[in-house]
This record gives sequence, structure tokens and C-alpha cells, in this order.
Amino acid sequence: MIKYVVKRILLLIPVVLCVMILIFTIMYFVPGDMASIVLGNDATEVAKEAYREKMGLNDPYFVRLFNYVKDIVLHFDFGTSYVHGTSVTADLMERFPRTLIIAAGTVLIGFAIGIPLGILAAVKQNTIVDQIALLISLIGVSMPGFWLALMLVIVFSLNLGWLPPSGIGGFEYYILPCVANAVAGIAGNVRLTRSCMLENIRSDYVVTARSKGLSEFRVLVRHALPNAAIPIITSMGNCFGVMLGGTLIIENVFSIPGIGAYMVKAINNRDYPAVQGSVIFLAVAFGIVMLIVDLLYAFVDPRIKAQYEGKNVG
Amino acid sequence: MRLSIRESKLSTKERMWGRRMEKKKIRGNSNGALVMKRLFKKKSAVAGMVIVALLILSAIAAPLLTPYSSTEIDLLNAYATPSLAHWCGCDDLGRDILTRLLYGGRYSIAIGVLSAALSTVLGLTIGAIAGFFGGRTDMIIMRIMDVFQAIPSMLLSILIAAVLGSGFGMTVLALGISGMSGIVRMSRASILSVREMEYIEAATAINCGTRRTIIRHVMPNAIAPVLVNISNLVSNGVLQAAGLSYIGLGVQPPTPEWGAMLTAGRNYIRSYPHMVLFPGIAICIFILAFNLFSDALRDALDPKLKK
Amino acid sequence: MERNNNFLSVEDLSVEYTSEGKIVHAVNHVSFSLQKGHTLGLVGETGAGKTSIAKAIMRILPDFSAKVTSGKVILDGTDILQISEKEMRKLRGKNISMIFQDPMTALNPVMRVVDQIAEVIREHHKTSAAEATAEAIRMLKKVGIAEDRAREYPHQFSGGMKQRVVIAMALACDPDLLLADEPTTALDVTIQAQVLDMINDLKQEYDTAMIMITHDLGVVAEVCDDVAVIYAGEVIEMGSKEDIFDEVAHPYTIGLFGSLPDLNVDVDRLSPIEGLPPDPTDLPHGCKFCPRCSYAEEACRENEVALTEITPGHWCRCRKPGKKEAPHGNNH
Repeated sequence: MIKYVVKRILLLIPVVLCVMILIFTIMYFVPGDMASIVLGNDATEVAKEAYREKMGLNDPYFVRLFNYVKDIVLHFDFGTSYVHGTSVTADLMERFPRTLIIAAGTVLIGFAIGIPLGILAAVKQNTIVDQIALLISLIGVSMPGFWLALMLVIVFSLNLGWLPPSGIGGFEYYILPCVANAVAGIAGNVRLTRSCMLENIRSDYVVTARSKGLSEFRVLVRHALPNAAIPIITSMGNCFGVMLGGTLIIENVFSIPGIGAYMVKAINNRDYPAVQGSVIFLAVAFGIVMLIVDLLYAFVDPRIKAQYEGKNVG
Repeated sequence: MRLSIRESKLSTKERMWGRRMEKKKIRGNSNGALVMKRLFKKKSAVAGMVIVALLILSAIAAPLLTPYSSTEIDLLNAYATPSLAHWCGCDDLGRDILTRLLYGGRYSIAIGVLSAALSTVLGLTIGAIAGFFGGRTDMIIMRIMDVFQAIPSMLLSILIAAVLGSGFGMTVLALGISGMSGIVRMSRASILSVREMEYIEAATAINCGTRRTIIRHVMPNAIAPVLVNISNLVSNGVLQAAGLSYIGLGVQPPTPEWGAMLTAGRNYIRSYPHMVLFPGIAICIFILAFNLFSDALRDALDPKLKK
Repeated sequence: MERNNNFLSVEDLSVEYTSEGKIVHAVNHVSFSLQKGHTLGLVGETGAGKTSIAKAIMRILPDFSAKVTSGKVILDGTDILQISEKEMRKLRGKNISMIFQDPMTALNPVMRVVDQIAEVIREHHKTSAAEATAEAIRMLKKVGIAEDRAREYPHQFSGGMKQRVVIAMALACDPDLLLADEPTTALDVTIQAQVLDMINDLKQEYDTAMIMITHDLGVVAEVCDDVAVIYAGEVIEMGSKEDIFDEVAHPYTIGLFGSLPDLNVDVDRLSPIEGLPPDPTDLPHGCKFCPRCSYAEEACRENEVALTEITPGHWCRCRKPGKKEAPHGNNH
């Protein structure tokens, strides 16, 4: 298994490299002259040329790509922000914990509420409980997260005054962003868990388990749930991706200086090193989460595990 | 082993798809008439379709339904709260919000539908090429898709929109490209699984051309799972477009796209929350109705999950 | 058969399913009985309602679609259809257990096989985990699975081995009644005989009463003492194995034998029964078999035919029971 983990980590590397190349390439072909953006259109051609030379903007594509990737890989250096002249790496590292708190909090809430509710809906299938759970989750997936965030701000911050409407600080500042962002995840998890459970509740091995005289609770928890967990875990990675995407917008709603807000500001300022850095940073974070999900997947399903171990032998 | 682990995991998923496809075939689910019958028997599906149809019709017929203009500024009515004259109130420039929502449907729904259509065309074509030709073509396409999928979809949309710029067409393009990879993967997997089936061999045996084989035999069987994904792409497109508007990409005010209206209203949230409330409700209603429909579609295509 | 000796008696059992608004009459007023230590074969085509009978006895019919509409299942003097679910749970796996048709899907794919067997032992004997595991390993050895494979998962086992695991699981608590639902159908022919022998040996060792559900008359000949032939959810002929094999009375049973190859006679072609079993949502009026019966008369179509005792212990649901020449005989 350890061998597999190492192998799986090594396999992340080419994907990350490709992501870097893809993003660098996309940004490279963006029209517009960096020097004019940074120095303003009024700057003299000499000054602009000097700037281009200094920043290596005159080098051919491959040289710039190579240098960019090399700096990231060897020095963990995402370059310098055009606008602020600060190190993008430092900016990202400062902001990352906040994004991480929101994303992790969101995923946690999403699973902690969504999965039990989904199981309940499946067990009480076609009853009023099931219908209500399905209706709520249907509404949940139909709402734009940032709109819900604004509504929550109106109710809980502006009217009731219970929670701060924006900014960062203690624990309470993260409650509204996490809840607003988690609603879609909760709803998605309810639907997914319900359908996976239903599929398993009717399978033959659950009938076998019942025929052993086990209590219904034991049948569900020991037999149906571990099998239903396999597709749920598979979807966890995507769920995290969606939540991460939501986080980017939610940060702007609550003026939380995380990577999302940083990136949006950089896009509007055409601060390309900062944009590039943010996207790559987030893509790598996402890749690591997917890796963890993959490992979990193998941990839960012995068939997958065997497949991996078989590959190692082969 | 040259096969990477990532591939092996994907192939497990793909085999799962394949197996579902096979089951569907046994139950004769590719039968379109049967699917339609199941679909129309379900109340929620009909309700969803009716609401979506009404929203589309009202967007088209907006000038007939409202006495107001969507663009004309009327400062006397600025910030007007909901009343009999203005059911959803007016915005900061005194424009009737309901009117703008009706007109906005034209943009929002069109973005959802067009971006999903673009994803579908791109995805099916690329997926079919990868699945049918296999080998090196397949390898290269799927590695590129791996890279696409290594970036969360909203982040990818933001990135592409940032590069392309804002506006209606660019938003459609950005969402269309970022939604493509799922369909590529799915259609490729479906095609791989049907390709193994005997009747394709039979079609090859009676000397059908490759193109004809794809169109007449592979596509109809591969289409069921893709249909469900497409309907998800529509609702996703509307939601993501609203998100893009919110962060200053996407469609820009004064275009009455729902997300843009919502964004324009956020500065007045403290005193005039109705400016944010109603565009959000419009998005919710559309997505909800569309989800009702696509859930029913999924059930109709796969009756095993229905009961 | 003396009623008092009967360990299990099923009386007037009916089961219905609802599917897409239609009612499926899967089991219709079935009665039979079984003595301790005996084996009853339930024989019939796919879809005749055999499995539904077994699941109704176990009370594991899917409750969202199936319903027992009438009847009693009396086990050792108690009608187990009337007892509470909690009491029923104590019987399931301990007093009554079941071997399922498809070993590929009957085992939980993410649980080690030894744990799946130990679970049923712990549930009923309240032993420690270690004791239950030891007992489970002993059971596995009994069905020919070595200890070193006990901690593997089902996907590492072949079909025949999985079925052995299922058998070990069913016998783990020494049940009084074993329901074997086509235990060999999903297996390779070569494995079938082994598994069947094993079931037979274990059954004798534990002195378990058994209901063997099968469509294979060869299996019946090998294992059963009594036979009930099921057609369209009804018992159409019932008696001792000798009655059925030597004094076959119902045209359907005769047809079943007609579709078996007889190695002693040179036959050009087998004579299958013409037609298909009736649609269980729309059963024919009168005798259920008459649409396929070459001896059917007007009276057969009009009136229900009762199960009558033609010789002591041999029951038949036909107006004109008796040995007949095979209708489409191509025998030389």
C-alpha cells in the first residue's frame, strides 16, 4: 500500500506540471502589453522596453515557460506581482489558510449534515420525511451560493445582528461563509447518499444480511452504508472542487482576503503573475485533495485496493 | 506496467458506466418512446417542464407582458420597494425589476442553454474521436482532459473568462469550454463499452462505414448518460454565469442578466434588499424547475433508481 | 403425511407484488408440509414463484413492493407470519436460514468472509468476537475453505467458493430448516455436483429439514424426499419423490420429464413444453396450465381445478390425472 501511495504521489507531478504549462500558455496568449499595463500608457517607450527587458518579457515563449516552471518547482517562487511588486508566493501563503478554513469547513458541514440526512431519506423512502428531505435538497442545489450568502447577511447580520457581515477575525466570521457555501454541498450529498443507499438496500447481500437475523440498524450501518460509501467517497473530490469554486466567490461576498478575493482583484488589475499563481496554487491544492480521496477509496473498497496492489506487483 | 494508476482508477469508473449501459440495454431503455412515456407520467417532471417553458415564453414575450422598458431610466421611482405598480420594485435607476427579470431571462437562459450546447458539441465530438479511434489519439486527448479536470470547474471558468474577457458571447464560450471535459470522458466511456458489444461487430461485418457506424449505432446507445449530464450543464451554466457576473467577469450591467442584476443590487443590500432578493429568486425558480425536469429525465432513463 | 409429525407446514400462502401499478400474483394459495430431517423439492420454471415462497417463509420479501396476502407458515407449532419482527429476527439465521441463488451478489463485497460468518454466530450465540471468528473458521474448513483464506474478501473467491461460504454462513447456527434457493444454478456444471454433495452431507450431519428450490429434476432425484411442483404460483402436483418420478400424474410434470434427455433411449429431439408460463399479472381463468395443455377441455378453462389426493400422499391439480403417453413423443 505504501508503495502505491508513493507511486500515486509521483503521478501527481506530471499533472501539476501540465496544469502549470496549460495556465502559463493560456495567460501568455492574452492580448495586451504588460509594460503598458504596469507603467501606464503614458510611459516612454524606453522605460517600457527597459521594463520588458528586466522582467524577461522579451524572451521567447519556451524560455519564459521554462523559467516560470523552474522558479516554482525549485524555489517555490510564483514571481512578483506586477501591481504591488510583492512576492506572489508570500501573498498566497498569507491568504491560503483563510481559503482553506472556508473550504474545509464547508466540506465538513456538507458531509456531516448531508450524509445522515440522505440515509434517513433512503430508509424512510416515499414517506413524508423523504419527500421533505428531497425538496429541501432540491432547493439547496438550485440556489446560487453567493446569493444565499447575501440573504444570510441580510437576516443574520443586518437584521438580527448576530454575526459579522464581512471581514476576518475570530471563529464567528467564518460561520456565515461556510454555511452559505455548504448548502449546495449538503443538498448534493443528501441526493447522492439517498440514491446510493437505495441501490444498496435492495441488493442481494443486504437480503443475506437480513436473513442472518441482524437488526435493521446493523444491516444498514454494517452492510449497506460501507458499500454506499464507495460512490460517495468518489464524489467527495468533485464536491470539494465545487466547494472550492464556491469559496472563490463567497470570499468576495464577505470581503475575506483569501486566495479567491486575491485572484479576482488580480484579474481586474490584469496582474497576471498573481492570477497565474493563484490558479496553479488552487489546482495543486485540489490535486492533493483528489489524491487523498483516491487513497480513501482504496481503503474502503478491497477490490480497488487489490487492483492497486496487483499493479504494484505487475 | 505502463498503465498509470490514475488510468486504472478511471477505467474502474468507466467500467461502471459500461455496466450501467449494458443493464440499460437489457431493459430496452434506449427506447425513446418509453422514456418519454415515463417522463410524462411523472408530475414533477411535467411541472418542471411547464415552468421552464413559461419562463422561456415570458422572456421571449417580455414586451407584451410589461408596460415598462427594461432600459429607460426613471429616477422618480429609484429604489421603489415592491408595490402594485412595480411588483418587484425598482432598481437604483428606477427601472422596473420584474421587467428587467423578464428581459433578463433571455440572457440567463440563453447562456445556460448555449454553453451546454457548446460543451455537448465539443465533448461528444472529442469523446467520440477518442473512444472510437483509441490508441495514441485517445491517449493524448484523455491526458489533456486530465489536466482540464485537475482544475475545479468554477476556477477553470474564471480563468477562461479572465482571458477571454467579459460579455455574453465570451461567457458562453468560457462556460462551454470548462464544461466540456465531463462529456468527453463520459461519451468516450460509453462508446468504449458499446464498441465492445456484438452488434457493432455485426455492423462492421456487413461493411458499414466507420462514420455510419458511429452515427447510426454508437451514438444512440451512448447518448442516455450524456443527456443527464447535459441537463446538469444547463443549470450549472446559469449558476456559474451568475457567479462570474458577481466577480466582475461574465455579463456586465446594464444588461439585465439575472446575475448581473443581482450584482448591481449588492451595494444597496442594507437599505433595499429587494434589488438582490428578486433576481436570486428568478435564478432559483429556473434552476429548480430545470432540476425537477432533469431528475425526472434521469429516472426515466434509469428506472432502477426510480422506485 | 401425519399432520402432527410436520415440522413446517405452509397453509394457503399467497404473495402479491405491485409493479408499476400492476399486481403480480406470484404465489397463489400454496400449501405443503415438511417433516423433520426431510427434504422437500420445490420444482418449477423460472418465475413460477418458488423464491417468493422461500422469502415469505423467511419474511424477507422486499416490503416496498411485496405483500403476503393470505396464509400461515407454522414452524414447530407457531405461525411465524404472526410473530413480531423482533422475534422473527431471533429465528432468522438461527432456526431458519437460506442459501441464495447467486453467490456472486449474496456476499457483502467489502467485508471479509470470515467476518460475514462470524456475524451471524455472534448475533445468535452472544459469544465473544474471538470465539465467533474461531467458529466461523471451523465452519469454513467444514465446507473446504482453508483457514489462510478466511480473511480474504469475496472478490478473491471463485463462484463455487463463494457458494461454499454462503452455505457455511447458512449452517453456522445449526438451523432446523434450511431453504436452498437454486444453490447450484449459478455455478459451473463440474462444481454443481460438489456443492450439492456437500449440502446433502451437511444436512444429514446436522439433521436439518430442507426445502430445495430448483428447476433441475436431476437435483431433485439426488437430494429430495418429497416434491412439490409449482406452476404459476400454485402447487400442481405434490407427493413423495417416488410418486412424482414413477407415477407422474399432471400433464405439466409429464412435460417436465419430457424435456429431459433420457440416456437410455435414443431420441431425435427432446420434447419441450409448448408455449410460455402465463403472465402473472393476468392469470388465465380455470386451470392455469390449460393454455399449454394438449389434454385441455372446455371444463378445464371454465372452472378452477382443486388439488386432489389421487393416491395417499400424492396430490394433483388436474381433472384427469394419470399416466399418459407423452403428447409430442418422438420416442423411437
